[in-house]
Amino acid sequence: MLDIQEISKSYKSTLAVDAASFAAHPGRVLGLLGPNGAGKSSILRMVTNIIWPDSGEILLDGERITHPTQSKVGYMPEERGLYRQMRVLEQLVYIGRLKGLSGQAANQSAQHWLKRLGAEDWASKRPRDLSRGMQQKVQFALTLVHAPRLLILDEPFSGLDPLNAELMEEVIRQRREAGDIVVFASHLMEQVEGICDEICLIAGGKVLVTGELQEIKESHGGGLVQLAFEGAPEVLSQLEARDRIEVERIEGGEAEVRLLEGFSSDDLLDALRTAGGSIKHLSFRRASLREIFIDLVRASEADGSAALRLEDAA
Amino acid sequence: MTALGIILESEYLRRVKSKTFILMTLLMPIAIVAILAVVLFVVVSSVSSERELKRVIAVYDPGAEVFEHLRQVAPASIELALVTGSLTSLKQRVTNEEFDGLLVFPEGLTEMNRGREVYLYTTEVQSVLMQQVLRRFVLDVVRERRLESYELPREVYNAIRRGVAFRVMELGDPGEGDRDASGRAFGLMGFGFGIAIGIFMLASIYGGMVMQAVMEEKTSRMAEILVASVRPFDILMGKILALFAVAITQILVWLLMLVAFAVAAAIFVGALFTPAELGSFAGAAQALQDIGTGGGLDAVALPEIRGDVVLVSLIMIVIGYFLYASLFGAIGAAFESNQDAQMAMMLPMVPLILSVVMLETMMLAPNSLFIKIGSLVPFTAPVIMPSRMLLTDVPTLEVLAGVLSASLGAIATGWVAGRIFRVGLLRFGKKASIREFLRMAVSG
Repeated sequence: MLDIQEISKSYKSTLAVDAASFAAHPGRVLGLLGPNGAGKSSILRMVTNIIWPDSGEILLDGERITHPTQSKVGYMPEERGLYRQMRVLEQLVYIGRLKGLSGQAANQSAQHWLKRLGAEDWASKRPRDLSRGMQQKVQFALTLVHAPRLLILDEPFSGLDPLNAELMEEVIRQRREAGDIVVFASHLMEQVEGICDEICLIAGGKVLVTGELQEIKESHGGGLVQLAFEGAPEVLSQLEARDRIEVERIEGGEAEVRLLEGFSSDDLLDALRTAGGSIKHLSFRRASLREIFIDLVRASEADGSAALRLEDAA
Repeated sequence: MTALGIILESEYLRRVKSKTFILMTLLMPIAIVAILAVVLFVVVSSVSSERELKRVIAVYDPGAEVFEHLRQVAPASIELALVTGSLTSLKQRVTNEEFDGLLVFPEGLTEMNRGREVYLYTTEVQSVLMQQVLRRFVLDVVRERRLESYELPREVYNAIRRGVAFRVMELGDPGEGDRDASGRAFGLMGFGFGIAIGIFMLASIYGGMVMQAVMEEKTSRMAEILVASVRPFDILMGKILALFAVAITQILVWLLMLVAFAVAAAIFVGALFTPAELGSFAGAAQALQDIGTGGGLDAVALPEIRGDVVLVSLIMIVIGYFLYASLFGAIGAAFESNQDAQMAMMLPMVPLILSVVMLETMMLAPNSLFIKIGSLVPFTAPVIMPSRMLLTDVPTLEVLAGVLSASLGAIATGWVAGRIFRVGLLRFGKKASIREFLRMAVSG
């Protein structure tokens, strides 16, 4: 299990990660979500031992991630790259060996992954001779070559063509089934919903919510009501003013509102009828992850808990 | 194998196997030999054609003191004609290219205490060779005429003309005898300069390659994956060591080629020419040297190199390389674009170039304060100390101090470079200002 405990990191005067805690479990895929600059990459770089937290601890299966244990991590950074002059197989073997495999094992594993990703014919090519899609495959193979216990993928689907994205999803699922831990950072919510078991939502360096995706969707995504009605549209704004509901959308006789705590759909119906309106249709909708995400980020920004600036302490 | 070992191996093999390396290693000596051969050929052929070029020189010798003698000794390529008339008209004839030059001898040239000038009027002031040839035999003839005017016997004249060899003897230990050290100073200077230039080249060329190798990690965007796998210090050291090994390989190949070339040349020359022909070559070479130097220089003697100088040179080569390679590596890590890095490269080049500039002072005054300091400062010591030891007896304590200071300098730059490397390697698309560069060094 990857256990992140209260890690903080600041650069110069900016607190990039603020006492963040979350856990990723074997055989599960965790999505690390957050707007740009939320601190996702900083957290991933700490997990991969590229930078060190100012405080807090990161444990992989109970061990701190340091120089020797970092070889259990496979990392695909957001900034993709390959050695332009080195042959594909050669670079896979090189990285595999640096991650602790023997030359022979690295070679075997590299061949295996190239074949698995359908790039075996490109083993002796140099990246400059490869198409972009093929480079992406090689990049992915580079992350997997040493059979990492923990797979860290930073924006893995960005720039990927649909076929490669599909292939990558397939491999991620396979790793999950094999009992590995997969963490990936993204702001593409649709992809996250499709593949993640757990999520951790961060903004301003803080964890807003973390846990099972389904649970979060249930606890945060409820209370959305779609309405079709006639007459008395002012009732909705009155209710909103009294903090009973939030109007997400209103167009003529159709609206989508969110019921706030202590206010049920029956209360809403009553209020509309009392004001002389009539209901033609009412249905409940579960919010998408995207909506939950936006709501939570907005709420956290409203709380003023977004990126804390230490105003040039230096 | 450790990560450092893997990086070293990979970087080394990748470079040594590259076409560029193989081509450069094989072609460089051939190119140098070819250039030297072309230069030599041009010089020799132009010198010989110049020598064979017929020249007509008018001689204005109103006292008829030297003309006959000149004609007797003049080389075949120079035809002398005795002329009379006004100087103005004679000069005009030179201008009209009737003659290639006009030699004007004053009257009473051979008289004692009347050192007069001999003039050569010519439009070909650029022909050094003609002037040299004329000058030598004209002076000879004048000297001879002067001596003759005192009716000295020829033997006396010959005795006077014979040169004196000036021999420098190094006092040996009692019982060992003294050793001829003539010309050794020149040899030492050459050798000292050679060592210094060698260290300079190694540090700047291969150090510069370390910078490129570090920048490659950034431009290929592999830095992040690499740092997620191994310690940054291992990456930097792996590269520095690998390029050192590349340098050694390249130098060894060149040395082998040199030996092979020398052996091949010896066999080739031996098979192609008879000893008599070889003798005539030697004569030609001697003639060439005579033209060049006028026989004025003592032969340059190959110096004996003491064991401690060799040892310190080797140590300093390694230290100097590591010191500068770490600096270049740090620069490669701190700067994103090649141009910025090239600019920043000037920074470590300053002490390197300074130490080469100091060499001239050192040749003349190897014990001056300036040079002493230079041989003790970490950044100049690797270049200065070995050549200084070659030229003079440096106290052991100073040698140790120089080596120690350079080693500490190398360790310190290595440490600082490692810190800059860690931070700098992960910066993309940002320029490092000098202030940031220093901050990286301090805060890591």
